[in-house]
Amino acid sequence: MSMRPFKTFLFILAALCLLAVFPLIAPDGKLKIYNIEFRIYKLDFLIKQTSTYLPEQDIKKDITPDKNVKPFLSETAETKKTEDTQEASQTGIIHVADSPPPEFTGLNNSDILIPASSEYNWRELSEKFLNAGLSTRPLRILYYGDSQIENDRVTSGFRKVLQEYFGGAGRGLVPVESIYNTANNFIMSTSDNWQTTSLIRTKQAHLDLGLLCESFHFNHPASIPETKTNAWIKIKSIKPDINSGYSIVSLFYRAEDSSTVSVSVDGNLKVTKELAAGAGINELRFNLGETPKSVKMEFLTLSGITIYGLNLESPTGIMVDNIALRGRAYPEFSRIDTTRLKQMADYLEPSFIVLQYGVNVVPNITNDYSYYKRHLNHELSFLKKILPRTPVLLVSVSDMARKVGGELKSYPNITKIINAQKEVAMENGCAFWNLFETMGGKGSMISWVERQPPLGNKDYVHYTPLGAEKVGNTFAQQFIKAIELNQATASLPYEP
Amino acid sequence: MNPDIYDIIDQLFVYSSDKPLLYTRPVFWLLFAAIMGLYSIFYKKNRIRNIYLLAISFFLYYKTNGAFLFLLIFSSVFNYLAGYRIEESKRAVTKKTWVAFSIAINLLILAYFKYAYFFTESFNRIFNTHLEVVNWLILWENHIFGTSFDAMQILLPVGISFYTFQAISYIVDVYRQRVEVVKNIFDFSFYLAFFPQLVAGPIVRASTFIPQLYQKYRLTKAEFGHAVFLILKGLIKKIVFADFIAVNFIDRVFSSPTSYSGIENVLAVYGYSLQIYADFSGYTDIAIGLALLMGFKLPVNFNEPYKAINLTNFWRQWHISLSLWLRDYLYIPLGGNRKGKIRMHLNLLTTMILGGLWHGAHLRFLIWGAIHGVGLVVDKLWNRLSKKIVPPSKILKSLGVILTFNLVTFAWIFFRAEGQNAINQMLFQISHHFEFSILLNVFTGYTIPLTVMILGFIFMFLPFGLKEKVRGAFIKSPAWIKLITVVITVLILYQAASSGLQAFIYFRF
Repeated sequence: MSMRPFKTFLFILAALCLLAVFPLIAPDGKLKIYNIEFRIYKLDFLIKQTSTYLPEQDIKKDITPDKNVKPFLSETAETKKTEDTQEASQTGIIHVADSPPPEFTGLNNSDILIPASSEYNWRELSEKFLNAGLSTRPLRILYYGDSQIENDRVTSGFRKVLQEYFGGAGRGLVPVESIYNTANNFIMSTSDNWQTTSLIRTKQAHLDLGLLCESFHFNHPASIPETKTNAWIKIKSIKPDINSGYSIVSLFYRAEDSSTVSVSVDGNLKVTKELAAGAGINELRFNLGETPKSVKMEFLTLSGITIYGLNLESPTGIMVDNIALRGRAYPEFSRIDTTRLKQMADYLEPSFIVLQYGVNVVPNITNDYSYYKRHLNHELSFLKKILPRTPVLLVSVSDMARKVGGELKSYPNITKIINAQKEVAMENGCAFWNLFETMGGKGSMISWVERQPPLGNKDYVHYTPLGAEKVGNTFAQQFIKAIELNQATASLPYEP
Repeated sequence: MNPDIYDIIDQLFVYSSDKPLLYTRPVFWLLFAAIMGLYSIFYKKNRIRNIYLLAISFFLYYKTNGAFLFLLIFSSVFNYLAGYRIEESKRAVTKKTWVAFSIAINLLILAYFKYAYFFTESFNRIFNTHLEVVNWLILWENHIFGTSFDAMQILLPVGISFYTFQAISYIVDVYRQRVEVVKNIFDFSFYLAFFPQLVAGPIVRASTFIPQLYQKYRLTKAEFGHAVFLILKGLIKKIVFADFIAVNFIDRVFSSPTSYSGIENVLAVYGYSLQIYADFSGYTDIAIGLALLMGFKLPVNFNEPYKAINLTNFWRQWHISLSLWLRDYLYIPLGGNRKGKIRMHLNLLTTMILGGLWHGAHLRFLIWGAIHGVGLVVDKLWNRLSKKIVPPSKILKSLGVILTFNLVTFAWIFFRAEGQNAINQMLFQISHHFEFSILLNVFTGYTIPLTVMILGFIFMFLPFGLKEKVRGAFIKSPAWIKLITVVITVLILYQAASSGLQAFIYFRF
């Protein structure tokens, strides 16, 4: 028996006709058979394009990063920068204010909103940043966020632009051990006797943590009372670049008694130091002179040591610390021991704080986000008690999408959450940056995911490293713009 | 007219780079129904049938690839003429020169579009230059047609790797007198451009395909049943066992390995092993089924590759048309196994490394090819040795399957990862942050994607006989049962395609 093409045609036609019946008998898109609910397409699904999303808003073409992404500073600025740095090494002053203003690359530029109540603090911030070379310690930006900034995403691009512009090198604060937040340009390994306390792994309060929201301790085992025990940390650079070009390693610790640390650089023992015993956090700084290939720290103690963070920095310039707390809706500073936070802040003197949260709030859709505002308010006023003069900036939640009836759509509640965030920011005198707008607004995450190369992950929530780099760069440009704008208005009378 | 109608017309006839016409899209099947409708008028006369299908193929290629249709047409004309010259030349030297010339042109085009970035970047890295690639084809087209395609980046024309290899096999076969030169340029273009296999294979040989152009259309009822079965199987593989698990689990891990523990990374790697098989073999299943419905037979391309007992067998069962191509047009010309054991091993390694690079222009494809190359050499050595030490047994065979599957899966890391950095991160998470203790949490968190993955592996490893029984039953069933099966399958596929996204989950709080 043979088949003619006409029969095949009829067969396909019959199948298509039968398939077209279902949307007619189930126009609401649902069909229940024996208590199992089946999703049924709409009739136009058969003809309409549904797999590829049509963005609701045309995103500027120049988002496409690939090789069109020019280094942030133009070539002339870069050359100038090198000269500046050379000069700086002689005089200690970097004249950054003369550099041409940064170009804006891609993304819809949404300005940083600064409430009138914090203009004074911002003027002070401008002064500080524009004279970054004069400072004896690098200027510090603590960048807190959720999983959106894990693995140095966003912060890496942010830091890169700021360090190219204001100087500085190094990754800043890093935890001793981190499962998910691994650094990209160095590998950290440790002995296995460290125990981690982390804000995200416990629900308790009064936690013995520092600004990094994690601490690491090892205890001397009671079974062998006489001898000292040791633990070690090793940092090995794998990709030397500006993020890893640190020359100073500092250690935030609390030791009970009779403890030492030995530092080896590139395999050679450099120095052994006593750790000051005491009830508070101490800092121990090692100036290595140049970026090491590897640093190993070995600790010996009779009782126990707690480390609140390692700090990889340069003598001057800007430091951006990535502090990612996955799964959190807001930073939970208030669960940390206030004295500890203050002690560490006294050493680090952070100049600026960024908080980027929200993707964990989005999946629970409600109409009323006053509970969220309450939590945010509480944390911000707590933070203000610890660092009263440090300007804080809230980054809005990013766009994220879900699938409804086979179609990708932005979550409907994002604008509400952004409004809540913005209101809290303004009430607390915090600056605000609308990341959602910058991305392109509603539906933008979908086109970010579909872009080649992709800027968003297939979960339609998180950025790819490339997308995060873009966001970080743009944010840094906005930050620089705000800094320069505030300097321009610095002649206005102060109103403290 | 209704705006929806415009939308359909737009989708059917206008090229749009972000809306390629895929087999998984309903609109393709509407179009295919129309193609078959018209086909029932044209199929009787071979010449008209071939021109009709060629026009359809060019049209569909334009739909997925826009401007690159010109390249396909150039390739068709050039290789057609080259075949003629080889056939007509009297002197051996002239013949050889033509063969060399046409292979060189084919490879240059492929190299230009596929490897321009790879070579430029390598050159820039070594000599510290800042050279940039320019798409000359697009420049030329913009100049001639006043179009404004972007000439500063080279996009890979879809299917170029496949039709270039088909063209080379034709040239060599004409020279070796294994196939007669094709007299009609339309017939030859049809051989290169026939749409079911154009985009992702199988790589069809002129010697098996060209003769079909001159045969009468014939499709038995059993072949029809087989074709429909293949298409359904292909769609299930592609939509459920490839796309679904990719979107809901595998892609996210690969794009950000350090956000996941070692155990999640390992699961993603095994998942990818399933995904790539389901994706690729699913695609060729559909291609073979479509071609068969139009009366053309394409070669089998996958034959339960993960059941292979060693790497040599794996390559006899995985992407068979490529393996055979590499054997006939690369390995054997290199000397094959005729020049001693050492040369043989070297040839094997070279073939696999070049085969790796054919998949894409990146160091990691080279590494992937090298892993397989070295694996094949070790396999050959072990084969000779093992015969003397251990007698073949069932246990040994099972061990072979497990070992081969795991090696192949490991190699996929290099194939899939987005760059060397991602590979390092993945291996780092697996070696440093394995976190075995959260395995149960991972399963409860990702229940659906992981269950689908497990089901996929179960189906894959089901006995061949059982699968054949199901196929046989489907083929024998009356038309209305086939119809109902199609409808039910599509409804189920829609459930997978329309399911909500797997939420992001954090472990280890």
